Amino acid sequence: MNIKIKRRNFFKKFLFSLLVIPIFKFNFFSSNTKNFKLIKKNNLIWYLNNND
Amino acid sequence: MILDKLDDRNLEEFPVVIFGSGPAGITTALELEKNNIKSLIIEAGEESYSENSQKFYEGQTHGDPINDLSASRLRQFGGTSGHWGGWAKPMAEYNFKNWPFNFDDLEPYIKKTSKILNVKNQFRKLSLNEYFDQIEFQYSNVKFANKFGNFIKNSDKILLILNTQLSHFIGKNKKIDYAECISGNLKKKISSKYFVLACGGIENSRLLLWTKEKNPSLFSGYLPIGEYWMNHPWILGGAGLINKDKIKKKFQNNFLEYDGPLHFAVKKKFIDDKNNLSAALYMSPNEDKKFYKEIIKDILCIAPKYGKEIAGKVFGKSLKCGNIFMHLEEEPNINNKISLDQKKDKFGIPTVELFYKKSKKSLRTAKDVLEEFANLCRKENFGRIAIDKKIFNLEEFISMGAWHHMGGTRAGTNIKDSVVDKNLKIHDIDNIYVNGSSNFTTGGYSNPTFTIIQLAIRLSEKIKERLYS
Repeated sequence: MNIKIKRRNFFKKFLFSLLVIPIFKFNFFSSNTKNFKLIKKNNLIWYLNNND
Repeated sequence: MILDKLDDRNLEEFPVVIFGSGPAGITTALELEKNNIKSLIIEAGEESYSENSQKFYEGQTHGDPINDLSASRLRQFGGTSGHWGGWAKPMAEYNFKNWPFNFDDLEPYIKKTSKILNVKNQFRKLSLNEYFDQIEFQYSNVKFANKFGNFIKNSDKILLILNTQLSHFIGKNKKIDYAECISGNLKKKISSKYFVLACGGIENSRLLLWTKEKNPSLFSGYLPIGEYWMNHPWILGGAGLINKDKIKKKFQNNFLEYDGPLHFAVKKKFIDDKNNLSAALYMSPNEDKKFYKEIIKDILCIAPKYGKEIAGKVFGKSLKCGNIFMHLEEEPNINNKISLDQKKDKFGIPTVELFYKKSKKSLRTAKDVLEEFANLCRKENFGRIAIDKKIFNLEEFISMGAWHHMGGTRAGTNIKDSVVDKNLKIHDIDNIYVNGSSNFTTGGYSNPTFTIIQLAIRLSEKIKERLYS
């Protein structure tokens, strides 16, 4: 029972580090529109072409 | 001639008395001098900076944060030109929409103003698209006290008296008879044919409000003295990079190549289509190299293909990289106003209270302009622009400075929402004019000094016409 909980916690931590930490660390935010994309880096939102 | 203080000499030989020796006051006196008209300039401050003098400019501010009133202006010979940044450009034609005169009325004075400011009479623009122009400012190094001090000292037509505070005007029957002035322990009533109040974007209102309190019957009806006060917000809008070669390639010889900031302004169509105010954005000529690297690092990370395209040009002259600053117009708001405090200075004149709330429309303009410009740069491949995320939360956005004070005695045709008429004469009073940015009916993206000087030259002509008629 305890081992199962530990495993579940490990997977939760693993998933958290995989998905959430990079978002906080690099502060990435991406919004794709029809012709261009907006990417947030630090305190700036960059206006970029899709093929940039 | 320059006197250190007021004395008991007879001053009746001067048909014009000007209060304030900043750009507006000095320009008017110099222009009158050219037409053989004697003028007396009364300056409250000393010949150069003094902390004691500066303390008179302390005042209360309420509402949104704004620069200290004793730091954003100078009470000394030469006025605030003693510490101005020198940015010089006539206001855009469309900025005169609500003024009682238009751009063409001031156009004849552009050449003379450029000469006074020691700048090239060159304000070119290049149309980038339907919404944006590349524009050109000139940068003046003129401090009025330095440039014109000796001339005034040797002039037999201009008398400048320092350390003399105007308290208020005294008059009746729609005419000013005297100006009560205080210098040390001496209180003196100075009479003249014409009086010109040129004490700056806050003092003009303060002294007229005090005059109104001392002579309630002098001004007929309600005059909105002190109201519609405006600021000229200066903000950091974001960062980016612009490849000048790409703009040059598209516009060829029309591109404005010069040393200085790369400067763009919105056109009238943008203001009309988006229901915005006017705004300009610029990139400084020299940014910190570290900042260049940070921007390129960010671009390589989020836009690797474009990053590689420009990485080799980082320190080349064609790539401008760095912060994007903006100058914004602020709409006139009746609630932004100067009033008199209960507290009085050592001459018994109430100090000022300024109520100021930043304009949401200005900040919305900043956001719209940045978005439109960022999309233009992206589509035309002129560069890539990033917007400061704070600009999307307008309430939190903070102006970096409020160094330009406008309004308070705004020009107009309607006595309900203006203090001076198209000739800058106070409505319904025959012989008093107001000179300076307090007359601005609306602001613009341009810094105000160039327009202040144009107005001062024009005012000297109006006074000359009346004296010779």
